[in-house]
Amino acid sequence: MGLLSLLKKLRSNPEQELRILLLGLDNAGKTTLLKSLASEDVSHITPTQGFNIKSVQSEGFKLNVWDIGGQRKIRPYWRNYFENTDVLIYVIDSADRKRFDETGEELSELLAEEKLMGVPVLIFANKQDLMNSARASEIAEGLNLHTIRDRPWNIQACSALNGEGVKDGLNWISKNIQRKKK
Amino acid sequence: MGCLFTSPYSPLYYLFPPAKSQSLEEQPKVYSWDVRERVDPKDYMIENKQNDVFIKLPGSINGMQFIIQNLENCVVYLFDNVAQVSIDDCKNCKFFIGPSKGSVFIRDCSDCNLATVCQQFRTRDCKRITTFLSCGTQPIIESSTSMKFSCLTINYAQLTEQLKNAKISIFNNNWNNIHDFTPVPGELNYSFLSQTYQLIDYVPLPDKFTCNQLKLTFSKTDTLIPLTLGISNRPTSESVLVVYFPNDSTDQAQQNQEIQASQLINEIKNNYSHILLVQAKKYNLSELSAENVFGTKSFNDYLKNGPIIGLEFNGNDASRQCHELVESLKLKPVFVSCPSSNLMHQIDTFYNFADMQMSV
Repeated sequence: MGLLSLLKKLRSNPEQELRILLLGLDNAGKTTLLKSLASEDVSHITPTQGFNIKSVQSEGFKLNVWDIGGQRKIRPYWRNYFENTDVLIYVIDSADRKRFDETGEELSELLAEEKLMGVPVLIFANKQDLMNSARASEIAEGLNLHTIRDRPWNIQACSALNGEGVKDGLNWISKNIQRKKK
Repeated sequence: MGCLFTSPYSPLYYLFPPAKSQSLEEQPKVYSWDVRERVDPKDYMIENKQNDVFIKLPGSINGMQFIIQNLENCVVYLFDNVAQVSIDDCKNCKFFIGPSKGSVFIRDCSDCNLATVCQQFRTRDCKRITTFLSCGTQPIIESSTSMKFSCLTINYAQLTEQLKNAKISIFNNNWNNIHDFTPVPGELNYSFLSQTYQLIDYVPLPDKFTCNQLKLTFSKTDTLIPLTLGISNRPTSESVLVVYFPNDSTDQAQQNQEIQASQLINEIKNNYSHILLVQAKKYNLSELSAENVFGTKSFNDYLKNGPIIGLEFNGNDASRQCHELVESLKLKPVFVSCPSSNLMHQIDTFYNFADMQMSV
């Protein structure tokens, strides 16, 4: 880390809050990621019926993370949470190849949403610890992520279960978020 | 400081050119999955088969992910730990899935029978699936109809160890508490099997040699996972709540606590056939919640030692028999509820705190 980033860090407003929306198909690992961000135990996680919210301190930001259930039936309700989103985190079960098309379609729909226009998107290629997981590069290609031109985006491989890669995703967020004017 | 080395105006720039350190920073990070041994996914998959039987013995999966897809008229047994399991596009099949650390997810299947013990149970687009279940969290169904559930009863030589690996407690089974994401007004997408049916009526035992090798049983009497009635199914109005606390914070104390709870369950099963276990719960209870449940602070000292185990029994004279048994077994520290008009409220409170603890 150079002096410049150190200064940036000191200068940053400790009050800066980010509203982060955590979406993805059911069983993608959103709640495990949420709990992993908050350094909580991830061994007894229940399928989310509504939503979970946690505030996490990271890199001088206060992250208010909204984790919304991903069942097909409740995806239409995602839109109720779009307003004032600073960053969209989209979680993919990299080992569930049967549903790559489905997760790709949901992501494209999200990126076409007016209320999420220009919102940076971080895609977590989760469950890299599983034997059938596709690499992040494979998923990026399959989902045509390189065609995203209207916002900053990044795909990060991770295992929310053991925490690997999660911090690297957060670092990308802190580097790419436009600091809100007071 | 970085700028001393990286600024071309600094003399240090020439002594320590930045190229080396920069290239280090730019090197892509190496994660555990980049360097792990590649396995052949085919070893952890059963797909595109008909009229066949597949048995995976302990040690053959070792906690990896497992994939089952596109089977017809097959029987599959996974007697090992798995990370997560997906069962897709199967018809007329029967499955046993060993302890899953994550989810067991069934999609686009019909007319199947399943026995599994897992952390999460999920279904979508399924029809007529009968599940004998032990599930650490609330099972969920979506766009699934004619689903039936019952309590899993099973034991085999390696099961205790496999449950430990999967971080699943036999004292937390939510098979009777289903959440339906797509309820249909006036209809029920799921129901519970009558207690007269057993697992063996739905999933056959494998061949004798395998059974002997594993010391496998599906019987209600020899099951390791306690047979519970479920809270929707209390036969009488008399219930009793028994709660075991860990004596101290050592592993030994928690082990003793589990042995004690199992001992009480077995004593009752063997001697009082009319008294049945409704539900068991194992969770961390806060001091404030404990006061609410027990009406006293006298158990607070034990709470910091670890999770408590609560058992609800139901049947005529359940309260007196449990008091006598606990007394004679000299098991401590333990709480046994007393009959009172407030008792059902006390038991509900105990379950409500458990549900709160288990949600995020």
